[in-house]
Amino acid sequence: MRMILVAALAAGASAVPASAADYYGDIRPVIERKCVMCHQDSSVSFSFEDPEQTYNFRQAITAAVVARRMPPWLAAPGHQEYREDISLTEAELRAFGEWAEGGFEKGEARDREPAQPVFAPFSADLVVDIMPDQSYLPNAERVDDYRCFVVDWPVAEDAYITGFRAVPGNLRVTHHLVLFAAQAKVAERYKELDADEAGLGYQCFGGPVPDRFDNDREREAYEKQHPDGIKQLDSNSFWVAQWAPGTDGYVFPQDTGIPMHPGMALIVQMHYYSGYAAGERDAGTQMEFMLTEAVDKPAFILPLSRNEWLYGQRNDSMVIPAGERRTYSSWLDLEQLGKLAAAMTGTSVDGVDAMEVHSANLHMHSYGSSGVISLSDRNGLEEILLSVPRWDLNWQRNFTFTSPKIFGRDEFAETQLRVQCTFENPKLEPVYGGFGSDEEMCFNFSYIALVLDEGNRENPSVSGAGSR
Amino acid sequence: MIRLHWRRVLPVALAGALLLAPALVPADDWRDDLSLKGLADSVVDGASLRNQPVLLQFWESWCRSCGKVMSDLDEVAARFPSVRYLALSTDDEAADARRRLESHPVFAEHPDRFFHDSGKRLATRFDVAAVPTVLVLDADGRELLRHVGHFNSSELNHLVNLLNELDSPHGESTP
Repeated sequence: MRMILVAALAAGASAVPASAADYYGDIRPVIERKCVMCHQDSSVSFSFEDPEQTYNFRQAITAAVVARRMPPWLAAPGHQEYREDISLTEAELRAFGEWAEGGFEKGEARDREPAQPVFAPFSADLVVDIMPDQSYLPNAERVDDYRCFVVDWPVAEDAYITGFRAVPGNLRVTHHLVLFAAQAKVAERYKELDADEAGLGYQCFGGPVPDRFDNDREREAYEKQHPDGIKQLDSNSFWVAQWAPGTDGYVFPQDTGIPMHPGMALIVQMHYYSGYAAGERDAGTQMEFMLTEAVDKPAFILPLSRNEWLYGQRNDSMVIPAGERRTYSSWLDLEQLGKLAAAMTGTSVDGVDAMEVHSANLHMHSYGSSGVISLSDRNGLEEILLSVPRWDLNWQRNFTFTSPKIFGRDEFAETQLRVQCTFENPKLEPVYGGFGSDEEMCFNFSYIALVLDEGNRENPSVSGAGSR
Repeated sequence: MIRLHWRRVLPVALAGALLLAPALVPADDWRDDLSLKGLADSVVDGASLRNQPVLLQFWESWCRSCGKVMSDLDEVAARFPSVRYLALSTDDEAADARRRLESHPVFAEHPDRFFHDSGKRLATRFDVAAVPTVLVLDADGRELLRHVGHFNSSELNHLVNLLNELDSPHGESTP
């Protein structure tokens, strides 16, 4: 018990004597709000749906909670307030500590409605099957199977995505889903790449670009056929949304949406726990979208990284020597980000009155150790948007602020968005930057909305012609 | 079906932390009267584990991240042959563990690494309250490291550095 108290103190709790915290009165409501949406009978992990059965896990639950391993929430507290924050408050954490100190009192089951999870209500306008009338058996020879499926964007007019929910076809084998969109100019190429690989979909660890381009011969052959083709694939596809266990449907920030156009394609990256759930088949994952014809503020999930890092072995731009730690960082000012985003709306940055930064989302692979995403102003003052002291590839997600960071046009040039990634390499060989599962990346993806000036608002010529 | 019935909440409350234990040689050696039945055909007794560092991984058949840890530790163990790596199932039934291992590639290569901790004897001995839990024990039986949950790169690097010390002929175990 002493160690639990020590851990609680380390997490900032005050030294309070054991109180009358009990399971049904204090702990069960927390589990219902922040744990049960993942821990379900039909899901990948053991179920907390039955209160009595859950009580049997009291010691393992407390150990994980006190160490802040569960609920999985990578963001360090104290920097920002995030929407749908499933991490435990200090008071909730203290309740677990007191509960353990008091000998795991059970208390009396109470006749009440279960506490509601922290997610907002969601109502779909469009449902898309990622493998209509088919199913996919993840490759059990891989511990993790990252598989991309390409689907036509089915809407015949320009539209904005304003909310997203995924309904995995088999929760026992699905770890996460990342949805990318490919501009119309590369949509056919992605479909060809899909068709060229045996089986349904294609292997894709680092994003929508196929894994097979890790192979020099494959890459050179493709670029011979399509000069600069891999860069075009990468720069004309962008992150739209994601799902991980525990996330339900989510609505994008008010008055914003991601523009979509006829002819685009959706690329759905599924991460399956294939090695741990042999024989479990994805019987057909679905995606649900909230759509609207127009929004006040078009938005994009803009990547921040360095392109050369993706070719780290060729240019030595990102190398993590064996047994060593390395930190890489990149930054862009809002003027540069605004130019990218404005180009995607068919305007120029001069037509953008203000920019709203709504979220931060760190992305590394398995050699990531920690990371920070920050904004700095003209005076060099830094605001931490997201600090991840212990990176965990399994629990990456989008962290949306309860209030956006808003910058007027006169602040664009002097406001920098920065991503910093620290890696550690426990292996005997160096690790390089790249697309592959045994290579590394350092990205931030921020949801950035544009407040267009009056002329552009009246004529939002959303061209989809952007590049990054 | 989950069959965890741990008796006490113990030092693993600091789940995921990498802890250095006090440098006391335990009065009762964990290897005393030890006999573990393999999930393949092997058997190991305590005497054969004396005078060498040991990497112990506790796991259960329902635990997904336990399989990931097996893969991570497989790579690490290959670098330190003087360190004995034992993956101990704390399932109530050894048959559940065997079924789980049928699909795990590391079991196919190293079947003699996998054992059943019948009656959770060692799990109780080491106050293991959750899986996966990984312990590093030096040749004298002292616990040098405890890790609960899967590893990230930094934690794996820490483990590698510790095993490197133990494996080195001139290295000393960290007190």
